[in-house]
This record gives sequence, C-alpha cells and structure tokens, in this order.
Amino acid sequence: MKPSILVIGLLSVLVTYISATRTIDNFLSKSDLQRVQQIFNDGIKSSDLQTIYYSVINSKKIPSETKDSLCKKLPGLYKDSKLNDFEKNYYYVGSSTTLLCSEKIPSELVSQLKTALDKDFSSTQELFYTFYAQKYLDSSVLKEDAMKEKLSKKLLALLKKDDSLTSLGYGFYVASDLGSSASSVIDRVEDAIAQADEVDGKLLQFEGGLSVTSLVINGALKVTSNNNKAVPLTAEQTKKFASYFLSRRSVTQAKGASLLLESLRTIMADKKITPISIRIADNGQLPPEDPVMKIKICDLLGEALKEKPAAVKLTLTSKSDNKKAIDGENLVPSSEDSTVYKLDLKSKKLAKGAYKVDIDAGSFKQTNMVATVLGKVRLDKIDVAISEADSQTPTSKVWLDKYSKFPDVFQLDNQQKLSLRFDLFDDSTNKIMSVHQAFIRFSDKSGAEIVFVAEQDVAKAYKFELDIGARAGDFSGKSGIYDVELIVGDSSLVNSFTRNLGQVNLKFSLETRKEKIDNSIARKPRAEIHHLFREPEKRPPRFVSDLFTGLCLVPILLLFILWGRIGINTSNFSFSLSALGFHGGLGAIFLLFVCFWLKLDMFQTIQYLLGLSVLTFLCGNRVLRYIASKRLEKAEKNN
Amino acid sequence: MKIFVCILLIIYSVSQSHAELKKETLVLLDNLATRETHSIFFKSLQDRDFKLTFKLADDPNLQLAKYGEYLYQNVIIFSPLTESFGGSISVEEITQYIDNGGNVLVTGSATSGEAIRELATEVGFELDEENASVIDHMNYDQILDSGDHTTIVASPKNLIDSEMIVGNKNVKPLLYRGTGIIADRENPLVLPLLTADSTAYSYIPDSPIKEYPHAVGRNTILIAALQARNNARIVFSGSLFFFSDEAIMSQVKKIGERETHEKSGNLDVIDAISKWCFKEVGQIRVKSVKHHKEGEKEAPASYTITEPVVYTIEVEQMINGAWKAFVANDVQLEFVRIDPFVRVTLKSIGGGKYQAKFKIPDVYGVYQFKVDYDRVGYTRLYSTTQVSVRPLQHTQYERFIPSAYPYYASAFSMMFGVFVFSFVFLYFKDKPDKVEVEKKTN
Repeated sequence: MKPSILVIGLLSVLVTYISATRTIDNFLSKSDLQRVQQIFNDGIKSSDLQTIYYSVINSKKIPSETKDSLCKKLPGLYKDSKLNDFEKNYYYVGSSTTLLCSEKIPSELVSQLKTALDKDFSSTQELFYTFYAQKYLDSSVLKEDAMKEKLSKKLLALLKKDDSLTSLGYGFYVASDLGSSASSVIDRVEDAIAQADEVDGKLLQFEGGLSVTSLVINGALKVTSNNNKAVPLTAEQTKKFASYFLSRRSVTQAKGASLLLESLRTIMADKKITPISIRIADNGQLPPEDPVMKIKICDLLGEALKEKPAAVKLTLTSKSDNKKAIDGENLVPSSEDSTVYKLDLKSKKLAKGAYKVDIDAGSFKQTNMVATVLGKVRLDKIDVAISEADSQTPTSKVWLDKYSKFPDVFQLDNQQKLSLRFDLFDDSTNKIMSVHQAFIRFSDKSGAEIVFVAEQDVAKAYKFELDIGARAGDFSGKSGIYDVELIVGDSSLVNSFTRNLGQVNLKFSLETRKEKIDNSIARKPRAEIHHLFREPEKRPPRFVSDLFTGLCLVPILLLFILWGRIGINTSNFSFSLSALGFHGGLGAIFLLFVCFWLKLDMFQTIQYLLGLSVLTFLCGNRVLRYIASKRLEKAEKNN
Repeated sequence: MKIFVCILLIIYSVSQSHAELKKETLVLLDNLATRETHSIFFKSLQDRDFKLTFKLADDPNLQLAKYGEYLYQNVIIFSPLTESFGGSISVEEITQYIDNGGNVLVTGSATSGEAIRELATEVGFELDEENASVIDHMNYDQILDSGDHTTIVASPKNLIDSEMIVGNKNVKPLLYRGTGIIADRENPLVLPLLTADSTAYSYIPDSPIKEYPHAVGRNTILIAALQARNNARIVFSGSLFFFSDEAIMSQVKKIGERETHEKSGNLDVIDAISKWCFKEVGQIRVKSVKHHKEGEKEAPASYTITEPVVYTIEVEQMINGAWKAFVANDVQLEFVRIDPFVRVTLKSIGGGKYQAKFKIPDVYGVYQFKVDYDRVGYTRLYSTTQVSVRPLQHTQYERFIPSAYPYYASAFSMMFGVFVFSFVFLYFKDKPDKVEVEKKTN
C-alpha cells in the first residue's frame, strides 16, 4: 500500500512540476507576424522557385492578377531552377496546385511522378519530396493499401541505411501519412528526440538549426498523433523547443518563416503539452502616477487562449526585504485586449524598488518575473561651500534652491576646496533616499570631462568635496572655466536628471601641470618644414671690387710705362729651339692657368701641366745653362 | 574559335578571382544558437563573399594554423563566456595570429570569461569587472530594457570621426547592452569607435556604488579598435547583443523622447565596422615611387646639394576587391637625414599619383624620401627610398665672382709680369754700359 501512495505522491509532484513549467515568456507578437507575412509577400515576387512555394502556401489572399502572372512564370522558373529534380518537382507541383493554376502541369511530369513512386529512392528526402508532390497531384493513389505497404517497406529500408537526423525527420513525415503500416518508425522517435542539444538550459535544438529542428519535431509529432500514440515530448521539452522556435523569429527567408510557423502550429495542436506564454505585458516598469500591473497571457502566436484560465492570481515579493507585498490577488481581464489581465496597484502604496512577480493561472504558473515600482526623486537644496584646503570653516557659503545656479563664476585656486552637500528625497514618501548614480561632472569647452562620485554620509546626505590642489592631476593641471553638472540617476526613478549648477574657474599651480604626450597630432597631417638654406656671404658692391681690380692691375701697367720711358733692350736673345721652348712653355703654363680658371678642372689641368712643365723644365735648363756659360765667358773676358 | 577561347579564358579568370575573394573566416561561438540569433550579421558577411566556419570556442579540434600556414584570414570571437579556448587555440596563439597580420573581431558581455579578458589585455584594452554593465539612466531604450537601464541608446554622434571605419554618422540611434571597455587614451594605436554619453557609467547594476567606477562618462568605450603597426585590425565590442538580430531589427525608443525609430542603426554601423575590420575598406598601398632631378627622367646615382628634385609616388586603394587610384589631399613627403629637413604636402596629379618638387637642402649626407601616411581608418603607408646627397665638386663652385676679381687680376697680372719680366731679365743687353765706361774714361 505504502509504495503505491509514494508513487501517487511522486506522480502528483511530477504533474504539478510539469504544469508549473508549461509556460514561457515569449510569443510571436503582432509585429513579428506582420514581418513574417511581409517576407511571404516579398517572396511571391521573387524568382526563386522554393521561395515562391513557401510564400504561396502561407499567403491566404493572392490577387488574381498576381496569381495569373505567377502561374505563367512557374514553368520557366521550374526549368531554370538549379535544385534537385525531385525538389523542384515538388515545389512546382505544390505551387501550381495551391494557386489553382489553369495551366496544366505537363503530362510527362505527371506520369514521371507516378512511376517514380515505384522506383528505388536514394534517400528519405527524395521519398519525402516525391511522395508529397504526388499527394498534391492525386492523393488517391497514395491511399491504396498496397502502395502504403510498398512505400513503408522502402522507407524502413532507407532509415536502416541512413539514420541521420535529417533522414529521420523526412522519414517521420512520410510515415505520418502511411498509416499503421509504417508505425514501426515510431520506435525511432524517442532516439531522435534524445539527440537534441540544450542551450543555456533554456532552449532545445537539433544540430543544423531551424530546418532540421522543425523537420524532426513536426515529423515526430505528426507521426505519433496520426497513429494515436503518446506524445513523444515531455512538457518541459516542448517548452524548450517552443522557446527555441520563438528565438528564431528574426528569420529572413521564406522557407525559414514557413517552417517556424508550421512548427509552432504543430506544437500548439497538442493541448496536453503545448506551453502558453505568460509575461508582463509591458516592460514591467510601474510609473508612480499610474501603477497598473499588466500580464499578458496568450498562446505561442499571440492569440487569446481558447480555454481561458478561471482565475489569474498575482503575487509580488519585494526584492529588498523578501516580504510579500501582494499575495495571490486576482487580476481582472482587460476590456480592450482579451489577452491582458491587469491590477491597479495605486491603492496598495507599494514602496519603490524591484519586485519578484509570480503568476498563478490555474494549471499554468509563471514565476520569477521582475517588475519595478518606480518613484520620483526630489532635490530641494544644495549647500555649496568654499573653504581653505587646511581649514574646516568655509570662507563663503551659498544655498542653491531647486532651480538656481551659482551666483557667479567661483574663482578657486589650488589652496581652496569646493564642497557640495545635498539630500535626495523620495517624492511620494518624503523620506531620504539613496540612488545608484550621484555624480558631479566638470566639463570645459574643449569637451574634456572629469566626473566625481558624491558619497553618502551617515545621515544619508550626499557629499562631495573637491580639493583643487590635490585633484590637479585629474584635471591634467588645465586651469580654466569648467561647467559643473550634477547627475542623479537610478533604475527605479522616472525622473533621473542632470542639472547644471553653474561655472567655476579653477586655477592650478604651474608645477602640477603634467606633461602629456600630445596625441592630437598623431594620424593627422603635420606642419610643413621648408629647409632654411645657408645665406650667401655678403659681397661688396660691384664698383668697389672693380676699383680694386683696377688697382691690382696698376703695378703691371706701371712697369710697362716705366719700361717705355727708359726703353728696354733684349737683344741678348738668340733664337734657339730651347729658348722658344722655355718661354713658349712658360707662357703656355700661364695660359693653362687661365683656362683652369675659365673651364678646366684640376685633373685636366694637372694632366696638361705635366707635359708642359717637363718641356719647360728641359728647355729652361738648357737656356739658363747657355746664358750662364755666356756670362761666365764674358766675365772671364772682362777680367 | 579564337573568340570562343577568349571568352573561356575570361570566364576562367573571373571565376578564379572570385574564388580568391572568398575570405576564410573562423567564427567562435559559445553555443551554436548564436549562429541563428546573429544570423543577419553572418548573412551579410556571407553575402560579401566571406566563407564562415562556425565552431564552438571550446571545440577540442580547433586550430588556426596548419603546416605553418593560417587557415583563416579573419577570426570572429562571439563567445564572451569562454574561459579558455579549445584545441590548439589559446590567447597567445591569437596574439601571434594578430602579430602576423590577422584580423580579429571580438565581443565581450557583462559576464566575460577569462579568455576574452586576457585577449583584451593583450591588445591594449581592459574589460570592466565581472557583471559590470554600462548603465545610462538618461539614455536607455524603453522597449528592450528590462528595468536596470543597461540597454542603452548610444547616439551615433559618439562614433569616431572616421567615415572609413564607422560609415555615415547620420544613422538611427544604436542599441547596446554590455560591459564597458577601458583603454589607455595615450596609446595612439587605440581607436575608440563608439563611446557612451556623459551620463553613462559602467558598474554592477544591482550593487550600490562603493568605489569609483572603472569607466565613467565619455571615457566609457563601447566599441574599441586597434590597428597594429603591421596593419592587423582588431575590433573589440563590449556587447555581443550589439551584433544580434534582436538589436538590429528592434524599434528604438529612447527615454524622454517621443519619437520611435522603426529600426536601430546597428546594422549600418556593424556593416561599416566589419568591412573595416576585415580590410574590405581602408586598405592602401604604394604602387610605385619615382624620383629624379627636375628636367630629367631617371633617378641619378646621387644628388648634389641644392639641386631641384621631383618625387612622384603612386598610391592605390582597395575598392570592392580591386586596386584603384587613391584620392586624398594630405599625403606628405619628408626628406629625412635622421631628422626631417623638408616636409611638403604632395600634390595630386591625377591617377593616384602624387608629386612634390623641392630643392635639396645644402647639407650633404645620406637621406631618405619618406612617405609615412598614417590616417585613422587607413592601413599605414610607409615608403622610404634612400638617396645620397653629396657636396659640390670643386668645379661646381661659382667661378666668376665679381668681388674676387681683384684676386684674379693680381694673379694673372703677376703671371704675365713674371713671363715678361723673365724674358726681359734674361736677355737684357746693357747698352749704356759703354757710355758709363766712356764716362769713366773721360
């Protein structure tokens, strides 16, 4: 007896556990559905056969002109399509029959599809597409028991060969339409489901993403329900799969969107396991004037539930002290929206802060949602004091009320300090409150900003002290006029604010000025540099140099003039080769020097000079010897 | 037949170049669901010819290089939670990959793992402490924020001033949820791509502020980038959410503003940033460098001081996978001998060619023509050409200096004098000697 009680107890615990978790906090909202519909609307205009197929089967009303032009386009697209034969057959036949086109599908294709069913298939995928293409054309063939038997055998053989997830998914799908003959496939459902990967403990998916997950889940649910077997998924698994599908709501392809909708509908079709969505209707921020808690309860597609919960109870637990502020109060259905349940919390006088929200809607429960009751902050006055850095008594004191600023620009040097002190009140309760952000921001014209944090003292008043000298480093020692701004913010406030308090003129001593690496010129064009050429030396005016040139030529002129006066007699000269050579050579050397000046370079000059000097030397030697010997002769004669 | 072969060749070359364009990219994820929650971003990459390889960050078979060659040109690390990478990948390996010129796009989040933090430190950033988020009570999004004001609306005005990197700044507001990045502002290689507003700060949302937050106001960097000296590009975002489909598709309604934007500007910015990060834009290179004396065509063996010189550099930019002429008006040339002697802005002469004409300084030595074009958003262009500059040869000095004419005149008159005088001296016949003798005898 005892064990059975235990089992019942366990079961009941299990049941409540399961029902407690049959809720998710997500659904396809109206804007999501609109977007998905837009994908299909755009898809109809595309020129891709697959996109057209998925758009067509998901569009309810297609205008007749669009329909006609699509029907005309289809055969061409079918020809151009690069998909597998069996795939494009399926998409073509599917689109054409769904559109009820007047254009007949070519008879070769019809007969080809029919005979294809008798052939061997390479994969369950091929079987799937061929099967459903035939179903679009003429489903009566597929209802024959013999055909079902035949196909079942083929299907089982294919699944034995390839038991990948994709293969199984297609297999389940086909099996769901083959009736009892393929019911042995159901044994493999559990195996397939077990292969799902869990993400963050919240989502379940199959490797390969949306297409594979949708294929397996749709196939598995269809095959079990058509055979009246138990649902292969637990409520917990369904919840996670549903969460996964909902997380994929940002699909952009027609195929993905179609699979997403189909999967959600399949999951919703099973009343026993389908989760519902319970969430806070807006963002859970309850403004102080109008605190209405709105809860949205709907199915996965955002529609109202068919079986409405009898009572929806709300429990609010304060996060700060863990006390229940509201315990199990009934929510009232909203008159405007049948999916929304609400409760006006104004009379409850809830304290500002975060609350844990639990919803109990009969067999469905949603826990651990968070709502914040917002409040307003009030700042009445700010005490501003300026004092010497080493003394406590302020040299000047000002009170700023709600709106006023500093009376004038405060002049502060590095011996002084600036102090601010203010209280923040909760506007509704008039109690002193704390906020997350109470910053004082200094900013100058160049856009540099320095932010300080105001600290709370024992009496919870906010205090801020700026010792100009000690804080010079924060300002990089840059003296000048700074705007002072008070920033008060908190996530539980509706009126977080910034307030400009006025201006201060800070003067830092020069020593504290920190040399900073100037980054401002990096990665920008630099100043141009032009080389400063050495200036040529100063030269005297032309007249002066010409004058001195003349003066330098005077001696030689003088020589000739004087010689002219006294007359010269060079009759000692006797023609000889060596004399000619010597004087010619000497003259040539001097002429060479003139050429050297005019155009030759040193090496050329030396080259010429070498020849000339040898000649001149030899000739000179002879001439001089001759002259010397003549002189000697003469002297001897005279003696 | 010939035409047919030609067409075949063209088709072949087109398909070849197309195959080369496929940029191998490794995507590391915390879980494969990220592939789908960020599908718009990945799709946009695939549309731009990226070949994405998705792997779990702790996959034991991960490898970046095979046989000493890197398998991927780009790495995307969308796995903020990773404590350590799997396979042969490690923070050191990624750092080395960057050192070898690889591009990396990394995202953190409010809860970043050790691996991401270490990697951030390696590239010059620091992620705020565990669980710290960027909070802005004045600029949060009313639609997506869950009440702690961490889904902030970042104004496109706070994007860096570089169209090359972040695209047009005139886009819709940006949605961001994640941690703040702290960077050394004095590091010239770090670029703060997106910063928070003045009212923002980075702290743990549900613990009261006891210490000064690590990042406050505009110092809070949301997305930072680093272009290393080898032109490897690293983009570090403190938010994985920034790249998600949710952030891209969501409506934006900033607190205190009536206007609701239909879509965020995230996609535009993500597109621009990823294009920059993976070097689809902002890549420039030197095609050719020419220099010669004015009026000549070939480069001389050496220049002489004060000669006029013409320097021409041709620069190309990668646009849509092809190298095209680069257009700018701030390319500068330096003529450097340890220090720059001349720095001039090159004039564009069309076709991506830039030219400068200047006179070589009157100081001889070994110089370099140096173009160091380092601008935000572009790869660094660095080209040096060494030339020697010699002094004047002795024949090249001025020969006919008016003020030196006295010296010339004296020298030549002396030479002439010597010539004439030597002749006279040697052959002088003393005629009046007899007269004197006669006189004496008289």
